[in-house]
Amino acid sequence: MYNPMSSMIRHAKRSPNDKLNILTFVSHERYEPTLALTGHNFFSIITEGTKTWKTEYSPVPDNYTIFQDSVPDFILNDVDLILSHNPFVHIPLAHKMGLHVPLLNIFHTMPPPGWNSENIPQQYRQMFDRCDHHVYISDFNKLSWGYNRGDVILHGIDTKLFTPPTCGCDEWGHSYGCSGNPDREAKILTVANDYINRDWCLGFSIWKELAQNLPMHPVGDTPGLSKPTKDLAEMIQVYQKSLIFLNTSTASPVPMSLLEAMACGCACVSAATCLIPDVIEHGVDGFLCSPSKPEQFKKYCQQLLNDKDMAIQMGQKARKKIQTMFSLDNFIENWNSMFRKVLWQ
Amino acid sequence: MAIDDDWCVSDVINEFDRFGILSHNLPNAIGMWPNEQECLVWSAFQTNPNVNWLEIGAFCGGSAVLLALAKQQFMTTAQVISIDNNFKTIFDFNVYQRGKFQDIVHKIECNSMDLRQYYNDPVSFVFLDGFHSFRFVVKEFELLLPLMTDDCVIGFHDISPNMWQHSAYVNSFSQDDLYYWMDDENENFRLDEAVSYICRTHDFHIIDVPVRNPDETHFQETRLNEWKRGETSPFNSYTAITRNK
Repeated sequence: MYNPMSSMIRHAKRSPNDKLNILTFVSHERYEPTLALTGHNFFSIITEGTKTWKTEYSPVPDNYTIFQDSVPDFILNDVDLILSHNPFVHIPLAHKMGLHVPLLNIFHTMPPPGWNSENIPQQYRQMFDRCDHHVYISDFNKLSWGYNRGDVILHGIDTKLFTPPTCGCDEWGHSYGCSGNPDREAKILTVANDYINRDWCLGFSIWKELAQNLPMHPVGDTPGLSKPTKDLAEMIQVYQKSLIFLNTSTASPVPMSLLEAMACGCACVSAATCLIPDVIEHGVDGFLCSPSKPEQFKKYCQQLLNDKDMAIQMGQKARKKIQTMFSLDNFIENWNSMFRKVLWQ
Repeated sequence: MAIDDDWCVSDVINEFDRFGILSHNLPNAIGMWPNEQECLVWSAFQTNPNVNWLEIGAFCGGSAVLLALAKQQFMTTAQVISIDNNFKTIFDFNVYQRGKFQDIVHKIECNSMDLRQYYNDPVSFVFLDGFHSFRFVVKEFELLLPLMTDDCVIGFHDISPNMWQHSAYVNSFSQDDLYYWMDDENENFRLDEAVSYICRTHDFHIIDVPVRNPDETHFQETRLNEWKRGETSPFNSYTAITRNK
């Protein structure tokens, strides 16, 4: 049985350099492994309303333990904080558990359609107020919710994992003319699950229009259109083989797949929504398009298909942007600071 | 003149499309339909870019970004002056954080009735989109009139959607109506009447602003099938006036 006294004792004994025990809920198979690089112990619950972990998206990290339905009491007694990844589902679940530890919530998504950021419904404001702190994945995302409490922590991308293909040449080979970029397929890669049914937020209509006369390569769990890769390694290979990555999503604050594709050196054509205009400099490290103008997507994809050198150069610049803007070291440091802030300040 | 022929307008609109503005939760996002955005930019381009442009009513910064993008087309130090009595964080995000228009857009937080206490330089373009009442629109116009250049264009938002079609627009209202509206403190949306009154009393006329898609409607987004005073119009609701030569 959970003993509130144990949380108090643990709080009194804890030092800032200790590994923390963080209770969380399965949510994002790509984000959570990066978060696990902070080195703390994560204990995750799969219960009613939460997701299950799909290993084809990412393997479960060693310091991330998943429990079905409930967590053993000896772990609950040693939990330092609870981390919610979904305010509407995880905050109520966390409160139901009744642990006497801080609750930290991260807003991964944009608010639901029709959300009034000027006047947040009272019941949601009260629910958010019950958290000790909030984290947003971008300023854009924070302002969209209209709930001003919390800090922004940008994604971190492991650019040693998500890397362009190696050509196999050494410096000597490069000096004899190898560009260092093995051939990429002149196809337009998209990564989206349930693409067709989620047209309203993923922009499948744009993809469909491009597919009429451009070489497309859709990846993801979309029945009748595409299949997901069998694991993360295969996904990385797909990025590495692709010349162009297309992002048509209009409601994702920062699509992970776009950042991964950029890290792997793909030339990206993306909808200019949410944080993306702050990530891609139009015409420099990618192309930006209005989501309401499919002809723009078509024009830039065609331009990159016709000019492979431009695509390669753009991809190289895109990787550099990810290395600086979404540095893994910064991500880990920012999260560790956040944990310290919530627990000690 | 067709907007399609004006590469400058298309250029600004394309840049605005790529800007990815953080919008308010209204059906028309920044408060202006694409047609209206084009009309606004077109109107501003009819004026002297070396003189400041001024807007009243900043909202989330959509029109300030449009005007800043338009101003950027010229080698000028003239600014876009944005006036509002309560600037939102979204405005700062769009204009200063994302747009980096620190050198172009200057915001003045004040009641529009007091704006002459804070601003007294010439303006060649004015966009009135603040408090939507007859009294405020007329007063704002009259306050700015001494600052307006000879070729100054004044744009209005949220007028009746077909006003732009009728350069010979005449709205008949009685002297009693006029007295009533001039005293009315409420946001009564008597903007057609205000524009008409301004034209008649100050020797201005409505400009025939070209609209790319004049028949474009937004019934689905607004859940309206006709224009109603006080509600977001499902049609183009921008008009502009300038001095009679």
